[in-house]
Amino acid sequence: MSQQVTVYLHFDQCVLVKKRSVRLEEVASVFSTDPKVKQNIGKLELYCFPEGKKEKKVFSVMKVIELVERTYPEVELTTVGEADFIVEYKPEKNGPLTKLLEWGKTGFVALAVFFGSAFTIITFNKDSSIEEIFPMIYRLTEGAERGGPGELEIAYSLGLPLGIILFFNHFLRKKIDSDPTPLQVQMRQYEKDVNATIIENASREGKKEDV
Amino acid sequence: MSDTVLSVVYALAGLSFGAAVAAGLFAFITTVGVVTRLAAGTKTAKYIKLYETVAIFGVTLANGIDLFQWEIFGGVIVRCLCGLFFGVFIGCLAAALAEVVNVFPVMTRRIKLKAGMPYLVLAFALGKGFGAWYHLILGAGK
Repeated sequence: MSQQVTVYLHFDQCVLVKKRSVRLEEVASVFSTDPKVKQNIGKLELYCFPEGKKEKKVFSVMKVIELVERTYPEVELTTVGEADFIVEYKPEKNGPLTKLLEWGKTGFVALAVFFGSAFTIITFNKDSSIEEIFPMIYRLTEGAERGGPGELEIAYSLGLPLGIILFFNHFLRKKIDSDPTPLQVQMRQYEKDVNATIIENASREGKKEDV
Repeated sequence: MSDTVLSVVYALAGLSFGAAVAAGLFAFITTVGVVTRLAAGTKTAKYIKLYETVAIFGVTLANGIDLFQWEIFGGVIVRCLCGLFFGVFIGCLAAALAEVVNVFPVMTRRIKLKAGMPYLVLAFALGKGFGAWYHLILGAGK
């Protein structure tokens, strides 16, 4: 009897595949001291999506263990990472239309963010009565009000973009540090929540690929 | 002399006012998750940095218009764009705000609602639309 080989599998929560036939090496990182075993196991087909349709499928790691143990009963499996994972199948489409649609959507969101943040700063200024606060400061410090906007307003207007740049760690990213911006953190957090919900839903509705 | 000193103090104060307001406002917008949701919904998360840039320009421009009465060119088209996207963003903000404070999950649990979540959201959206129309077009706010 040959010596038992251990195979390590690491899973991420969500994987995007472009081909309908999903091999194990596409959804997990496989490691084994025996390179041949590693290759064989990586080539195992986990699932085959129906032709041409976008789909998300939730798998339990148990399914993978079953698959591997059935084909190679002699290997010992060690899995790391997620216990359930999502495989998202998106057939490769690279027409000019897809690109155009992406640009269109990006433009739409960019416009919404631009006008939206513009609107919120005006409502904030009005809400917190900036037109009363700044003249008040001039009055207190100079004894008289000013006819128009002065240094305070100009500096405030410079401070606003500066504050956002600092907050978002924008533009100066490389110089300050290489942390992701709060928006990027929030984005990942949101995606993680979405993935967790997809997995929970699939388990509840019995749509999970399990043993 | 003292005028110069005062000007410097004004400038420093104004700068910190602006930075503090901006950080606060955008911490709020980030936490509420309007931009992230818009990006997730349109699957354009990789352009998130563009959205940040755009937010910076939007705030700076609108603040200038508000404080210095900058004249902006453009006619009916710019007004339409403004109105539409003010609406889109504030609509998202309202919905996201309701979501952050768990209005929907709490309500549905209280009244043991099992299905019809999409209708609830639709009703929310239509209600906002109706409210705005009632207030602004019918003039109930005057």
